[in-house]
Amino acid sequence: MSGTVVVILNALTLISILALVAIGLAIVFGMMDVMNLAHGEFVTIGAYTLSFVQAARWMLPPETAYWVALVLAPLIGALVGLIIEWAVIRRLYHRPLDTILATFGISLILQKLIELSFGALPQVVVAPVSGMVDLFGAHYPAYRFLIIALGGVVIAATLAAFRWTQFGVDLRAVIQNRAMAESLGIDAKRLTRIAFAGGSALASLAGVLLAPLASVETHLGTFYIGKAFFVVILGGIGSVLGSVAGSVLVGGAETLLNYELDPSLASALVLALAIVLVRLRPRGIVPGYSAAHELLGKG
Amino acid sequence: MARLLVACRLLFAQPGLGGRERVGAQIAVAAFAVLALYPAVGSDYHLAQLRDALLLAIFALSLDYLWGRTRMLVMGHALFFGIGAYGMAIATTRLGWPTGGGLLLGIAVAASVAAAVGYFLLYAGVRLHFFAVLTMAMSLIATQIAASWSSVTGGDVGILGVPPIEFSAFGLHYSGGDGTASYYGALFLAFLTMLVLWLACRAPYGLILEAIGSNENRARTLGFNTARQLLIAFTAAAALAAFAGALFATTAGVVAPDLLGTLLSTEVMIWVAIGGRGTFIGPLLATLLVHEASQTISSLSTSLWPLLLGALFLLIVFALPDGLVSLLRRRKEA
Amino acid sequence: MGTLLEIEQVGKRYGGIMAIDGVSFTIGERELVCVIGPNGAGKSSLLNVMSGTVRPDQGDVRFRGRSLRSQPAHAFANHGIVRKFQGANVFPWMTVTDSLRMAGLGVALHSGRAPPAVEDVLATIKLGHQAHRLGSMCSHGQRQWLEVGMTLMCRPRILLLDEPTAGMTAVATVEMAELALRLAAEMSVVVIEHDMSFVRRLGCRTLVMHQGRLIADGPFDAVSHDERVRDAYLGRA
Repeated sequence: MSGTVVVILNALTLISILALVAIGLAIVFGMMDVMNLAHGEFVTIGAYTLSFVQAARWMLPPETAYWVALVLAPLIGALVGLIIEWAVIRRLYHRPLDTILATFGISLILQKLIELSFGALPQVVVAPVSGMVDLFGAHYPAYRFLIIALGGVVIAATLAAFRWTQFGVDLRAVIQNRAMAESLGIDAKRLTRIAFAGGSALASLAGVLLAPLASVETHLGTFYIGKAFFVVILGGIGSVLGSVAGSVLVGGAETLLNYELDPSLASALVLALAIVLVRLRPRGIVPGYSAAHELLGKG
Repeated sequence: MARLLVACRLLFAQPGLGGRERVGAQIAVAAFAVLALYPAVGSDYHLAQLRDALLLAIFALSLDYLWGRTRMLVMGHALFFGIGAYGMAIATTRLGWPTGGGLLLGIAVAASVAAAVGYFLLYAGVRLHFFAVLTMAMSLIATQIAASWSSVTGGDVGILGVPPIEFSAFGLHYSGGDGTASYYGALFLAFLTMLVLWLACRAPYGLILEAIGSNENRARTLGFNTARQLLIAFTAAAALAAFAGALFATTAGVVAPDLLGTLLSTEVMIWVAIGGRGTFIGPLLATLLVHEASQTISSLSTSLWPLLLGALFLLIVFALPDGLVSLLRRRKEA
Repeated sequence: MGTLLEIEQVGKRYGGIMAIDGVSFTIGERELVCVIGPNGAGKSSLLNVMSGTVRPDQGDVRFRGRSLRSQPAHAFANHGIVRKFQGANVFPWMTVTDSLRMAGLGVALHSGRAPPAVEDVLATIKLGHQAHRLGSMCSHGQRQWLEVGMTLMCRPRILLLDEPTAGMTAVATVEMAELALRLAAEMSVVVIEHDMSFVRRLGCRTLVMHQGRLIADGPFDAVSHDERVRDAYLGRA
């Protein structure tokens, strides 16, 4: 019994983080048909923000500094996202392959800049809470509960915003038919910018959350961007709900497989699963009705 | 059988030599002549470096065939290069096979992986950036597997002691252990690969790939099974990349997980993009030049080269979408 | 005149709209047929289904008695059902000659029969003087001719032409009508058109579509005097 609870909680931890990373990717992909390969670097930026704030000696104790980083990281992520959107992405609209090359270049540059500023060694970060909590007979780290709770709240808020606010309606309109939405007076460029910054902020937030569990290195984001792409492909482009569903699938499968197999083999199996599922359900679990599907010949 | 012959005649009939092609052919012949004379002046060290670059050029040609002609970008192309290299290393050092067997093993595994993955993705209509990123994920995961499956792949260290290729034919003996011989072997194979690909793609077969790459739906309604054509091209490119990787393993003598990984995949895209997609001679020469430059820069600082690679991607996208060849063309038109 | 293509109770739905609603008819060997109807009547959807570009939700498409329902688009072309797209869908970075040479290969490889000579088709579509021009550099009218030329390279048994005269001069429209009449001696030709003078010139069997349904089928003269057809065009139905 307690074993099952631990498995479920482990899966939920991974799912929360994956969904936070994937949502931004899925929305921007749906809106602009842009696949941002630098998206993983926002996770890295988040994690490094945490280590930087905690290491700064003129500041608070590390536990308190964590909360500062949790607020600061999404802001930094959004700012960097805005800069990238302004400098590169918006200039390459309608050139998907070029966008992927350019964002890949940005990803390489960001990684190496971080390495040059902070060194190649893993950074030290501390979780704000320690100790274990008992739930349904399972003995489980308190910090992981925090991840699940925070992640869950943010994801639910994003889902709600996407579904019920005017902003969400406009966003969905742009995803489904950009030209029509623009002719109805929606400022698609502004929305794209906001969505890009928002997605970057979410990924940076995920970076802070996962940093105490991971080794904070410059290629931290690379591991997550690969998984986030499976999530988006499986879940459906341009759909928040799809991202969550895809995260449940990828995160759940990987957590379960990790118990039986070597982690790299588990990732390989998840990839194989993703590839086979794409064949069976080309439009994803929750089709987002995105124009990107047409471009891919998937419509 | 007769039908196959008819098909080959239709697909690979050679048109006359065009003006632009003549320039390319002249550049190719001149480059070949210079490279053939190089052993007379180059040091052993530089000869070995250039030989490695020539084998990497075969790898670049395999990507150029795919990316330049069908516009299918593979961001994890090193996956196939690495499979070829590991196939050779495992066959010769672990299984005790001859190098010929290792070559076949590497090529067969790479082609099977490409065929299987390509079947699922290409027939599902996955194209463009989607396809590019999925192949990148494959190469990432393959690197992890190579690093963790120590009993077969040697883990992070890799496999040492891959023997050089040796064979005798027509009374002549070829020994890959000899620096000059292996240099000429690599030079011959690189230019032969380029020649074969160029002949195939200037024929009507190349037109089919171009048609599928630029307007797949239209090509489909003209009776082309486009998914199958793309699958064949993808598998062939993977096999060619594995061929280059297996040869590379025999000349380097070692294989390690980075032969499967992101950096090599990144560099091969740069070589092709700088040389000019779809020109074959461009990527071949670009590989030699950029590889030489990267060796020099890496010896100064290890993190400088990836930083420059990143900048090169931006430069290509914004300033040189057709590679350095476009500069040549622009000057000619001006 | 034997039956070549049978369209049987075909239906296609897009969201809440029935683009095609239970349409049935047949096309005979070497028959020339026009499909007309007001905008949004379902003409292009019908052509998409006939050419395999879109799979119908219901009903069947049979070629010489064989169902093509579950076959992919390229198989339709290999059976000899070849289409031209609306608005000239050509290959931007290929010359006219290269486009034609390439266009014939798919079907030729499948059938093992050599494609027609590129020079002959160039003469038919009167683009001999533009042979080395890139697709993207051709005028709209030239692209229309090029598209027809590409379909002819496939040795069609049924040629489906979606708005072949859109963007053409009056003279070229007459030439296109003459070509369609000439081709109908060798193959079945189905034309979707808006230009009534063009349809009148063809003077052939005419199908009228309205709101996804087939509302008339007969000689052009009879159809053009049909009360229901007039209502449909005037928006009274």
